[in-house]
Amino acid sequence: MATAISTASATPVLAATKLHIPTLRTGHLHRVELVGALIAGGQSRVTLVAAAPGSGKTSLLSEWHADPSERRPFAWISLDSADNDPVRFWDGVFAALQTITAQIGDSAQAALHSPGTTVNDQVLPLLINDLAGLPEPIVLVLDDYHLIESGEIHRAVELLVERLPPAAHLVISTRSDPPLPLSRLRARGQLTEIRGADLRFNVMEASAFLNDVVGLDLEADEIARLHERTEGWAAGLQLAGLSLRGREDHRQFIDSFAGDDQQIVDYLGFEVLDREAPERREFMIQTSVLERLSGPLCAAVTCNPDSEQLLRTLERENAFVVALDSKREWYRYHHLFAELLHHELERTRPGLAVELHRRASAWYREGDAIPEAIGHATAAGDFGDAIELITTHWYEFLQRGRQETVASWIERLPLETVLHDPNLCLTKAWLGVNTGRLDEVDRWIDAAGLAAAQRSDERQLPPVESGVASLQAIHRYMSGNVSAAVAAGRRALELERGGSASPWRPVGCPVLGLSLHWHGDHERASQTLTEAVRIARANGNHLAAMHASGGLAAIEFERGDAASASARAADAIGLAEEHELSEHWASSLALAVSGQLLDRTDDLDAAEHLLVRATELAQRGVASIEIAYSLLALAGIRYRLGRDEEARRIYEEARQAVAKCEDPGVLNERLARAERRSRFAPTPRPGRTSSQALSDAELSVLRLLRSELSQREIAGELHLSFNTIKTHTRSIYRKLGVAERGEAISRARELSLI
Amino acid sequence: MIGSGSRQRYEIVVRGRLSSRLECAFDGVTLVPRNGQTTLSADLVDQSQLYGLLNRLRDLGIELVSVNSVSEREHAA
Repeated sequence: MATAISTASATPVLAATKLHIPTLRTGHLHRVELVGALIAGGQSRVTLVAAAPGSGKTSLLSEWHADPSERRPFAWISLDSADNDPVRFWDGVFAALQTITAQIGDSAQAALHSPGTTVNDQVLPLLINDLAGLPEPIVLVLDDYHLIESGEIHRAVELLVERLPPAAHLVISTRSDPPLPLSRLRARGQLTEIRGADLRFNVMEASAFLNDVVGLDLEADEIARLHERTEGWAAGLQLAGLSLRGREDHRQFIDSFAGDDQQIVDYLGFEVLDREAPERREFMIQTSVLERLSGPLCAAVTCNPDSEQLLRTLERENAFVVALDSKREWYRYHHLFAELLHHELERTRPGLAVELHRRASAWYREGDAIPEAIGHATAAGDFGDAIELITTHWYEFLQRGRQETVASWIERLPLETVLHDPNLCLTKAWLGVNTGRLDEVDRWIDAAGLAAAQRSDERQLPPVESGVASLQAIHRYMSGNVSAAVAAGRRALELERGGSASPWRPVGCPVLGLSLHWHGDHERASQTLTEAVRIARANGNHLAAMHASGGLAAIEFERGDAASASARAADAIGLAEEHELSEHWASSLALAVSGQLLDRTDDLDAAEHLLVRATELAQRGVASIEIAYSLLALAGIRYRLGRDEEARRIYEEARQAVAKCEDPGVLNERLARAERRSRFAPTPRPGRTSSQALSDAELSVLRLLRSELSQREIAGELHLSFNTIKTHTRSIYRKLGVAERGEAISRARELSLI
Repeated sequence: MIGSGSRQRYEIVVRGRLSSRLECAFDGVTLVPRNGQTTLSADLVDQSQLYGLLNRLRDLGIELVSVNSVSEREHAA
């Protein structure tokens, strides 16, 4: 049913429409004094235009922009409700700024797309820096700001306002006052305000509009009565003008209208709508389900082949259709009219909205505009279709950092529906991992398992089970439970071997490899990580490749192969730079290894710089074990630089990071060793005899001795022979000075080995 | 899922008379015009519903005069 669309049509054009500065309509009434006030006010920091819909806010700002006395370039963004995703919001702001200067916000944007960065701490300072460096003053306009409800975004904008450099002027256009410290700005004279009362037309302006622009020939008293009735509200006058145009008896109409107390939009809006030709009325009512309109989209939704022409005509005749770009490809309804049209649709064609949304969804889907397709499918109640789209695309969107967007897709579905779908539950779990909400992860993993069990669809099972296992592995790794991560990771791999490729494999592999490394099984860790890099590269998953290469670098470094370690670290860092992922925590291990390598060459300052960076990045990633690794290396460098006090503090932080881990694997012993060497170890309790250091392999066995596994089972778990385990166990007992398992565990705990 | 949970009655007074045509658009809301104003009465589940209704009124350019919650006794009277 949908007409053929080139893939270039839907998404790029939509993006351009948000940045398009609305052009003045023919028949726009010039508000000379108001524009004068805006230009003069441009010396303050912020301009706020706050008024009810239909007051003429956007037209006024367009006029300001077009005024020859205003030399500054404008960066404009028309916000919509999807911009409550902070990544989308700020991406839009950067794109708007980039219409003026190409590189502005480049580094800020890189930081924005890395998980673990916060806008306030990492992104904004970079943006503010760029703004401060502007050679010429600019104006940034946020239109329809009332659609933003995210507290996170409000706080960031507040911060931006606070630190705005002189060259940048911020304009906020809205229907409701934003939650920003306006009184403070007012008191400091930093706020220019245009409010509803300011925007009202006076009698002279009303006269100019109705007689000169609309072309009516009204008497002075008729104008006065209309002015009084509408109170100078722009939309009211516009609607009145439309109603009067083509009408013979003005006086009669004005008499009834003025003498009535019916709300204006209610009265005039329906008036205008009723007087439309049936074909046009039907067209407008049906297309009201769309946020934005184009000829092809409307044709698909209404099945009216003249859609393109109709849109052009409507816009020309000022019937509240607004052009969104200069090519006249995309339009939208003026908000007031859209509301009215929605109501009419429900009233005259109840239930049709579902079918219309369905058609819109199909059109957007064909054009690869996924968020819009999902939105319309959900609105149509076609949850199955929405879920299919979500399941196909969520991973790609997450890779682009669009967590909030994916979360909003799922939020709009009924909870029942989500709980019934194992893949959606897994997606929710993955969102939890990505946003560091680890407590939720387990709940959603359980829900996924439950949902899978209830499904009779046999084909589902392997991918869901392996997905569950991969997520569990990742979750355990993030929570710092290395042995559990190894067990889950192994299970995931086994399940994958039997089934088809899942999106989890490229991600689960590095985590398994790294878990094995921290667990002390370096041989297998190396194999797994090498495989992980191969799979990641084959799948174009740069983050997984970076993470795995970093792990390999760490292993090579510990083996003493500096050249190899250096090469692996360079691989990871190179990938980060190539794909603008330098702000992502996945390169933390590689950086830490590079730092330690420099340490060996005595370039201590450079080494310290790298290790500080490594730690900073690691802290964005939630995995305590990687944080501890970087901290440990950093403490070592500070110690070697002779900065004892700082080193002591970092060792303390490292100790805390390790303590957070339920099972930090070899890190515990490494931390203890490092502290002993640097004399920062906590004072041992009296009566304890020192013990010989346990090897990494022995530590792995020791940790499993905590469990109820028999030695034979431990052998199976570690892929070693039973005899090897027996040898290790004997050695452990000897070194710890104990005779049996239970004693070994208590002793090990005393010594902070496990 | 919106079921027998407790609801709260709200009375929203707006300026101007709203037609019955517009009344159809507001599901579950009754309109009573009086003296150039209209009182909308609705039993709402929570604050989100209230703000949702207020936003729709705003988006139609309708001017708010007052918003009040009404106790059982008052509206039974």
